[in-house]
Amino acid sequence: MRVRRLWVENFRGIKCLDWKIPTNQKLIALIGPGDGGKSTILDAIHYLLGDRWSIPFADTDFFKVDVQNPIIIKALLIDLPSALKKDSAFGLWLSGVDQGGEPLQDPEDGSESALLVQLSVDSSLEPRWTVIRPDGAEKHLTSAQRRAFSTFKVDDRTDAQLRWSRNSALGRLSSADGSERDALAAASRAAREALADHESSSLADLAEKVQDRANQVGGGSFGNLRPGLDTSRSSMGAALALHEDVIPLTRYGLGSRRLASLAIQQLAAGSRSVAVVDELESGLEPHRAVRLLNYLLSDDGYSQIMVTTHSPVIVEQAQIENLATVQNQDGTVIVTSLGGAGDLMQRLRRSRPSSLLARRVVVAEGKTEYGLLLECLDAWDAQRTELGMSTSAGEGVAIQDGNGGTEVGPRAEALSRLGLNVATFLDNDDDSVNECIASAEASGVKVIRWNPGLNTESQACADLKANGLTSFIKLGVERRSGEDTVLQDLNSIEPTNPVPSLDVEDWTLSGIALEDARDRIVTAAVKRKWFKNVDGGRALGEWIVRNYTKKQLASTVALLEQVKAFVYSEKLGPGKDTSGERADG
Amino acid sequence: MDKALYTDGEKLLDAAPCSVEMPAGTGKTHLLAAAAAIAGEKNQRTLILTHTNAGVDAIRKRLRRFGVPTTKFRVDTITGWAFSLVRSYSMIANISVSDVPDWTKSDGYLSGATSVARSDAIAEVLSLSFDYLFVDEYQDCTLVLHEFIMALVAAIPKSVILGDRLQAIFTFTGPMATWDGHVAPNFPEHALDIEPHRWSGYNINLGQWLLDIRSSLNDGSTFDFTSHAVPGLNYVSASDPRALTSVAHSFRDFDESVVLLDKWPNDIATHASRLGGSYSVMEDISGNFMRTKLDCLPPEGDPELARWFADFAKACVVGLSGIDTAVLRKLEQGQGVTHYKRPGLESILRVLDELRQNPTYTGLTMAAKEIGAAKGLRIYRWEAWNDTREAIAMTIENGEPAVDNLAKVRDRLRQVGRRGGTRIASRTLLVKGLEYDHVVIADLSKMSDPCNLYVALSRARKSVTVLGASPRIMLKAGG
Repeated sequence: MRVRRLWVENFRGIKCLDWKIPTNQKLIALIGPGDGGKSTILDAIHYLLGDRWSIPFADTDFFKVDVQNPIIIKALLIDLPSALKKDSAFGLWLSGVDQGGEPLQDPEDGSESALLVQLSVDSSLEPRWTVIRPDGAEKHLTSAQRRAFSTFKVDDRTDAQLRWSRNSALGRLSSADGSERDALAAASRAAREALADHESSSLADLAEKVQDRANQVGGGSFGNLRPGLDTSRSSMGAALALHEDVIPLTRYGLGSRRLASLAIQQLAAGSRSVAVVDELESGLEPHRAVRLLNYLLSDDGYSQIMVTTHSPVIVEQAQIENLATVQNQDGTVIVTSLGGAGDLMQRLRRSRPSSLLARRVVVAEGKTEYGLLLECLDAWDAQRTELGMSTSAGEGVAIQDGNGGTEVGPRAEALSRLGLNVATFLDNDDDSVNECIASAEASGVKVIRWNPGLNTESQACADLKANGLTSFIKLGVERRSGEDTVLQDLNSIEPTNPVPSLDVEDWTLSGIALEDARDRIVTAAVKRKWFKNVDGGRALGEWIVRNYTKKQLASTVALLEQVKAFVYSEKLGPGKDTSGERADG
Repeated sequence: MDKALYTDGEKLLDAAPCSVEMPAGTGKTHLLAAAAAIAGEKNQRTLILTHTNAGVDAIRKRLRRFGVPTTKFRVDTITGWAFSLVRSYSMIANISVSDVPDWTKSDGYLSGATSVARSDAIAEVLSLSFDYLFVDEYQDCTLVLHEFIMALVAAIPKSVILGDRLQAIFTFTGPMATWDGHVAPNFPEHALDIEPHRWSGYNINLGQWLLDIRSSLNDGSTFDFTSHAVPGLNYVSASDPRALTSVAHSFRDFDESVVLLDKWPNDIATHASRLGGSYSVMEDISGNFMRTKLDCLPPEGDPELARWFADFAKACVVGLSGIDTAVLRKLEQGQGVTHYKRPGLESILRVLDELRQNPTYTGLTMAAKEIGAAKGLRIYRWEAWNDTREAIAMTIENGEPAVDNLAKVRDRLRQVGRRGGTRIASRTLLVKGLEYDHVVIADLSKMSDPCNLYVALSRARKSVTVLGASPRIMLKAGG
């Protein structure tokens, strides 16, 4: 079974959501800045399709705590298990769904059979599960019937799944393979025996099955999983629980517990189950998280898996089609699959997966600008930390290396369309990119460029006097590790008119005008690639930061201040915003 | 379940798709239920369809007796199941459907349900839901029904068709499916040994005789009751009311059931009236008698209500001859009737007059109560009397037209089946599938249709009494 479409109304941070879920992907990882409603979406699915008998709703579960507007969670389910399609179940309650995910009253030929299920909660806080039809007809849905949806959730409250009880998955598994009573009686015996180092019971067999599965799931290394009496929670008395050797699993790390819980719940839910996992990577080292991801992608036991993740590793390792961003605008939540985003998004994600997890992204033109900004961020962060203000990391900021001017516009626009706050940071000496940049700007991207006609090097040098230029050359010397090299760089521009030294004051004396000197230095820096890598960019950034308050850098700093304002979501003072002066060409 | 039955059931399941023709009383329902029980044991589920709710009821009882879990079968009437399908999938059926079935639209439901059953999604539902399909009383299938069944068969190929050509009497409209033309080509005949099970312990000779005469009940042949002698079969050479009364009242054991059969509804009412309420008229399923009456039920506040009620009471109750045309005319003219001297009916005149002055439905139900309790009055159309009262009482509650409420009351009858009664006057058509200890055929001359005659005779477990001016009847199909 799979969820084809999900509607949520008035549930927690979601005022409304209408999500058409791609049909060609088994696993969907919801990404996006925190507080967007990702976990709420998973809870909605779990509450709607899980088999809990009741759910204690509170006023705070309503959007803006307004209980007058009922919570509605509704899903269109496809690939229904045969048991649900029988006349005695919902065979006479099927709806249809067309190619585009629109529900149809009847499953007419050419459409797919579907079941429309709904959970509604009004001000009485009583949850009500129903099967509905598009025309509004409805029929009560029991928790036993919901069990056939085989949907479970793995979250931080997993310990209950590691113990045998009437409601836990382990308990259900035991009662499924025979008489529950026998199994539980055998369980307590087995518990005693386990403590006494005896063996062999049906529970031990089950524990072994769980062990195999848990090890498959994610690099677990259980070697002697068995039932035992867990007395570690003295307040609850002794409980029958899974033990690795003599250590109760509840004493294991979060990651291991979650993996074991996932394995157990999937065994209990049976094949074709739907799993929701909040924070897939929780408690797992990156390699185990990736292994879990790959296991989920390949295991036939699942027909659909919805996860949230904040892990760049997961974002990078997942197929692009598996990723979907969640945007929340005053409660209106939009989920956008990256599947249709094409190569561009593929490149973007590979180069900087964390961008997709960020709240604000700056797409920098290339390595120089990227490095330059990193250095600025370090400096700004340091200042702000002293003032007790948030850092760029705390603001959820990511800097992207745009890989060249032509790429910046499309990347920024693509990210902006996913609901991220995006700014560009690029040169202004290449007219060919203007169209893309304008398009990005129209989609809401904050465009920050150097002043017209300038690239990073010429911008930095634009207002430098002789002493400033000399300082810039010194920076070049550091980069090129040698005065001779820099001298050669400078003289390669105009071999017929060599410069006397690395001090620009001297050049003026030998008749080189300041304008010419500046041209020559900028050209040399660009041609000989003084700053054409991240370290170079960082070095340039460090130099700018050091001279931040100098008047000769004022026009450059003004533009960087725009970046700063974007990064820290600050208001710019009047007059400092120069974006209006930017002219095309 | 005995071993022979178990074997028969297993063979039947193995033979599916197939058809089985079994005469009345030879254990058709028994075999069907046994087969469904055996299928159930193997965790297979069966859809069982028949024509009438009485049939549904009988099959359900049998399944319960075999202890078949309710999860292992679904029993319904063919049109009932068709309605469920079109009710759920009216877009595919391309028909608009109300919550309560309107059985005058059965053919529409059936052809709609045929489309539903043939749609990919619902064909899948059917094949996932059912391993076997049994259809009983197939001789009563119209072509429209047959088409629907064939659509079901496409999804549930292991189908068993049961029926008996000689019990083909019906009110269904439209061309009928024929055994030779529609059943045999699709469902190969499955042969069985036939035993008159129903009569064992009652009158096995009568049962055997009913099997033996089947071959002589043909269109064009003559059947002579004086040339048959079998214990329990009586011929009375008369068809006058007095003879009928004497026969009808000759059954002394009130634990034994008696059905008095004739051909036309009016004949039945006349017999029951003459018998002074000791036999109660069985109404047809849709309650046409009450419907006709309720169709012209005056609204509350209309003084005509008293006149209407008096008419209705006279059609259901013996002993109201004193409410004659003079009284009725006064009621019609809205004038008082209490001044008439009608010994024994004083209270009735009083309530009619009250109803005239205060024409409300509540007043009408009070008047009906008075009649029910009055000495010397006997109701002989109990079913009509009760259902009409109930329909009007519902109108007091819900304000809907009484005719619509009658439909609901009658629909319940479809659901729960007929209530018993040990002395029933009825048409042959209505008692199809039912069993009685004794059968009285009021007038042989009207039983010329071989199927009609066979069904009438075969309702009896213990005895059949045939009244007729002549013991001979010339058989004529559809006659």
